[in-house]
Amino acid sequence: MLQRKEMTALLINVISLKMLLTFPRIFIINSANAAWIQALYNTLVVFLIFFATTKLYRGNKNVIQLAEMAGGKALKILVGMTVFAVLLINFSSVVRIFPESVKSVLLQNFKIEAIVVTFVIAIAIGAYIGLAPVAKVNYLFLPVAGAVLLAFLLLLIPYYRFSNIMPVFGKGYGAIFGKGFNTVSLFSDILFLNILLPHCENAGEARKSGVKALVIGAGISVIILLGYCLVYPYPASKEFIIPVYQLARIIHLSSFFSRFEALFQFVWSILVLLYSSVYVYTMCYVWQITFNLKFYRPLIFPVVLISSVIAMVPNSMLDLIGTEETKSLIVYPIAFLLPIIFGAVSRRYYGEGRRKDESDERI
Amino acid sequence: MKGFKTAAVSFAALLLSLTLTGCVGKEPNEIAYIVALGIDMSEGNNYEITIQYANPTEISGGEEGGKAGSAIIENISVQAPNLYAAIGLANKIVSKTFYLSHARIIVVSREVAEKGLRDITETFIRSDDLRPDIYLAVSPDGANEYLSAVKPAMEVNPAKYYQLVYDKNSFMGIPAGSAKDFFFGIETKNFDSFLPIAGVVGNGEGDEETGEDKSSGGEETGGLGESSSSENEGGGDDMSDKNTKQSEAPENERGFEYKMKDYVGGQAAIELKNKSESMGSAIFEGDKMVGTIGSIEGQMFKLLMGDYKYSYITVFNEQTPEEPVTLKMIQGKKPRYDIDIENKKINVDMFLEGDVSSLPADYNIESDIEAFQKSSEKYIGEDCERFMSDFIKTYDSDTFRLKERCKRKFLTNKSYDEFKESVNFKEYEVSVNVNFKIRRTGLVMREEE
Amino acid sequence: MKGIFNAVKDYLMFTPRAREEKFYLGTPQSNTEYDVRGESEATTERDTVFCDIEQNLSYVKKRFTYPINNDVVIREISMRRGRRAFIVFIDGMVSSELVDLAVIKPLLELPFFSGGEGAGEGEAIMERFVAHSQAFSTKSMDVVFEEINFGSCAVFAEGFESAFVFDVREWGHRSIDKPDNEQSIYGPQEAFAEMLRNNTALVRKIIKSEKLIAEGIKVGRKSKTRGVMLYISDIANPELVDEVRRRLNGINMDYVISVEEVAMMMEENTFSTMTHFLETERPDRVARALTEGRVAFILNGNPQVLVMPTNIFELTHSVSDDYLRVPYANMIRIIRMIAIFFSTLLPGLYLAITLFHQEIIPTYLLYSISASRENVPFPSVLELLLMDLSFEMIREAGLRMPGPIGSTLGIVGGLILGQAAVSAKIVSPIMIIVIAITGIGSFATADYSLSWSFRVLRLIFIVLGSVMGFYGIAIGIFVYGLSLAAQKSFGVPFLEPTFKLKNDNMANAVFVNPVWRRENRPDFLKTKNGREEPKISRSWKTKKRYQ
Repeated sequence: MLQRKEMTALLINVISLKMLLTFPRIFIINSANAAWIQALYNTLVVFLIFFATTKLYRGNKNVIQLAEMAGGKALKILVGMTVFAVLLINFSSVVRIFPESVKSVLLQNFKIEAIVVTFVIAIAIGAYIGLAPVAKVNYLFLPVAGAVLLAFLLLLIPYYRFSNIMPVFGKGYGAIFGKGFNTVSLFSDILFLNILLPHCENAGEARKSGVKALVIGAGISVIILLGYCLVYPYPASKEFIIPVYQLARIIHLSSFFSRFEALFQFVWSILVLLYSSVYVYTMCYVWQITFNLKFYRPLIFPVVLISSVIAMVPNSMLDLIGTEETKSLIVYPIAFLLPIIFGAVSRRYYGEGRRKDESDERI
Repeated sequence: MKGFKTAAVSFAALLLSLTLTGCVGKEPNEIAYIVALGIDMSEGNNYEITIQYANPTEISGGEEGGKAGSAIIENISVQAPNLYAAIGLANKIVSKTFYLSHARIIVVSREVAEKGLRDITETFIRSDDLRPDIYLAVSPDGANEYLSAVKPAMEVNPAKYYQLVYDKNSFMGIPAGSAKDFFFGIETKNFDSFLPIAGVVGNGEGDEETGEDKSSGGEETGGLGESSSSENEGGGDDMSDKNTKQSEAPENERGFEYKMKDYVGGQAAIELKNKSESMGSAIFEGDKMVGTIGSIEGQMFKLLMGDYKYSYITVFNEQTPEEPVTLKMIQGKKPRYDIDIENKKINVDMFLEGDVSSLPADYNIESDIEAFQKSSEKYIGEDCERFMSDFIKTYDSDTFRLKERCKRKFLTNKSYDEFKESVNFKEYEVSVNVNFKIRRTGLVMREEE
Repeated sequence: MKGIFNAVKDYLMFTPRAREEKFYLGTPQSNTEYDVRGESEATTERDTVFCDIEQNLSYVKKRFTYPINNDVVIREISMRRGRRAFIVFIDGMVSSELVDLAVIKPLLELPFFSGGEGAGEGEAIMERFVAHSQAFSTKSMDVVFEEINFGSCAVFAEGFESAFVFDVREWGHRSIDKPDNEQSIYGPQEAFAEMLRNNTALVRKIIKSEKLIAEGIKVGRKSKTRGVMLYISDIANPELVDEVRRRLNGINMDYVISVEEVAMMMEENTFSTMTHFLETERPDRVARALTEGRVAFILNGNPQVLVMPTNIFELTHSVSDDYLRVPYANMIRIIRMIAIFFSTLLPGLYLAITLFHQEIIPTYLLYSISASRENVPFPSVLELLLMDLSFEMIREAGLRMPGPIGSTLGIVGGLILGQAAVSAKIVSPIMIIVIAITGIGSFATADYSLSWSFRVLRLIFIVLGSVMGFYGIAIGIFVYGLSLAAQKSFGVPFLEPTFKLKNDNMANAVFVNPVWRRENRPDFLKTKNGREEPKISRSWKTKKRYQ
């Protein structure tokens, strides 16, 4: 059983970790220096979708269990496999990008295989230990990470130039609001809230934690994008692979205090490890529920192996970054639509009766 | 606890096997730390790259501590098409591996700067070693000469020397030339940069060059200095006599920095042991160098940009025409630009404050401080206006960042890009207003007599 | 001369050597000399006191192997009208004054009862004539012997089927003194000693509540060491008490001597690097823990007391944090956290930075490190492990040296050896500083067993840091943090309590909260009565002055 605050911390980690990898680049390619406006717009869209989903949703079951109730085993397996595939696609990009980033930033002369192997072993151990300890460590660690991020953004103040985010609307309204809709995939990991719903106490708690996590996650994304756009002017900013690392590199207080990116790398590594453990656990859990298995631990090894294999499919960084956009295009419709559809289904099963209980919990 | 023991043993085996794969780190004493890089032209398309690295055992080895002087840095020159190729080549020559993370400055020679710094910036931006706040400088005498001439007299740490010189310059009169800003200028095409000039003193061949520099500097700043620098070209006389050279630099007869000499790096001989000095700036258009300005104009430039922290300024005084008044000038606020696109006017308001430092004898400034302020405002304003308008008319480079200041008038990138293509600042009218107040008179305040 | 001649003669004539050189220890055969009456427990459990005194006497003598076992004293007494009786006690464990006055004297003066009256008479006699405070009668021989072994005096009388046991124990013991390992400037300065009753008295005189239960538990099948489980019955969670009792009763060991053995028999995972018990020797700390809802266990003969359950934050607290004012306590906690951080991570981070991430070090420091390493023949890892090993050896040696030599050895070892090693260019001076700060950090850790667990961890982080730099250390922190989060100490997760901005709990994680704000008992202990203080705990601040 996860408490509400632990679930919130988990969701914040899962949502905002993408911004710490290569995701800001996609925003900037799309709308130049108005990327933060695009992020705000995406937040509004996601909030609408989220409120729609929670209005419809009843009960404490996740999508797969509702699929079973609605259409029997066949539908359950279909939905379960879809969810698993979505998670796998999302996860394999992290398994590829993170060791590559570690190699280019931290350990330049190391073999990439060794980094990948240790990464995989560490997250397998994390998933083995279970969700509750991971959530607890997450809850303890996240304020530290938040403080470090805030410290960075404050230390960058001498480098902010407001002329870098002007003209205000960047590439134009069409780019921001039209094509910019696709970057809603930043929030596609809110699907976790749905899958892990049986671990929460009831739907009301889950909703509160979801709202809070969305607000904070979106806030972090907007702030990171804003900071990045303020420091780096447009054509230069779309070229860097890990934007947040570049931000951390610039900080130069005096010649003594000028290498703060070490601290950032620490925090970042631990956040990615936590995120990946949660992902592996969730994938095993999805499989376990879909096929009614008793234990999830034996599944860890195959799941990790499959994601590593899929992660190694792109040949180089170039292919990898190219496939990111396509991946995110596939993933987010499923991530948002499935809960809505099955929310409508759950309404039929749980009826209007539950509404009274939930409105009591609304404080 | 059998399971735990097997897990622990296998984990230990894994870790130890990682040590065997050879993926161990490098010890700190197996690395040569590069302090500075110099890039000169060589035959064909190659560069001659000078790598200056530190010798840590001389710096702080053993129990004797450090000695300042010449042994703390070593130079090595190789010819290669670009930076990393040179490092690869030099690695084969020197015993330790080169490591670029602590490099402080990249010096380019004048020819390289005129050819264009695009490929060097490309290397720099992709590299994970070079830091974004590394300094760039242009050396008219050649990068190799400059780096060989660096012999810090007061510091034990060579990196500290570069940092002190170039950080201080950013305080005083010469713009900070960090590579990151230079790169932004090239990439975004929104502005152009200045870079400091790093010169060498007392160089035989170099004197001819500096002589020419002086003259070219004199012509370009001819509008500023009443004294014709062409008269003072002592290029052919006494090369090694530093005093002659110092006095041959053009003296400023304008009100701003009255009777100060407009030096470019390599002319003022201050230190005897350390023959390197940096003063003055190089003007860039995009990534190519187009000219130089002296230190006085550098100060005016910083005043106009708002980067001026404080320095000692000498101003002409009507009451005592022979002896100027020296003030410590601080910039109170950043100057306010008002660019009117339709009427093609540029209006700059500067806000300056001063503390009186040094007065001529028998001059009581407290009695007519208002008049003094007004006359100083007039001199400074006129000089800055003339400098700015001459500069804009002469060069195409937008070092005053005028295009960036117009950004707020546009809503999308497209309209701004169209503006950038179509605007021609040479048609604009420049006016500079100075708001100057004397705040303090030092520790003494004389009464009116 | 004669000796040499004898030795040569012995050698040449080959007389066999003395018997002790041929002695090898073999497995014991069944030897009637060492026969204890009844080799399995079952046979002695049902033995009862005989009516006939001769049988009692022979039984007792046989079971104690009387003349050989030197300190057992059996004294026969003739009561009035010739009724025989005898007393048994162990010399050195009883107070002879009490034996004389409370046992022998009344026996001699007891009036005669008509013989053959059974146990009912025994009770009446006990109630009317026995002049000693702690006495009871029993029929079981096992109980009698257990009590004699622990310093009581047993009386067997003719015609009675039960024996009388008088608790007259007194033996030499250490007096109540200042605490050795948990010193604090403020606060009470008493510490537990070895006597069980004194220890329970020390705790009880602080709490002074009849709800404080001191439940007696005997640990060890043969030694039957007395232990006491303390808890406050209207605060502590009964499930917790049951669990502790269950584990204590489940210890099957013949002889239990120390409370650390009990702790090791009770813990869930012997090979984990972290302990799950808090061992303390201060009664005030135990009393505070009991009021929070915890359970304490005192074992006779040990000055340490186990407090359970515990969590990792509590292991980093020291007792003086409760007695200092809040700003000072917070500052000392921060310093202690930094010390813990250094004692675990500093060597690993140093190796990671100098081997992999040299760009982090400021340039001048890097030149200095590089120059000082120029003269050292070993790689960094080996140098660090060498210095670490020597530091640990010095520390261990300092424990064994008596008094003044021990402290000087520390200084000698540290300064002169380190300085000599630097001058001989075997190690670099920076390594000495790293090791010294690490050692000082581990001394500054409040709990002894916690400092040990960090010493073990340090080695793992050294290996990780030297192999994979920051990435390895991040992985190490991740895996270790998770393993801590997965551990439970008596059902309470090990990483409780979590941080809260406004903490109104008695337990705190890192920062101390003021005494008037500690209103609730810790929620992870799930106590019966959750509230320790009302909302306004300083009524002098709010009540009107003259009312």
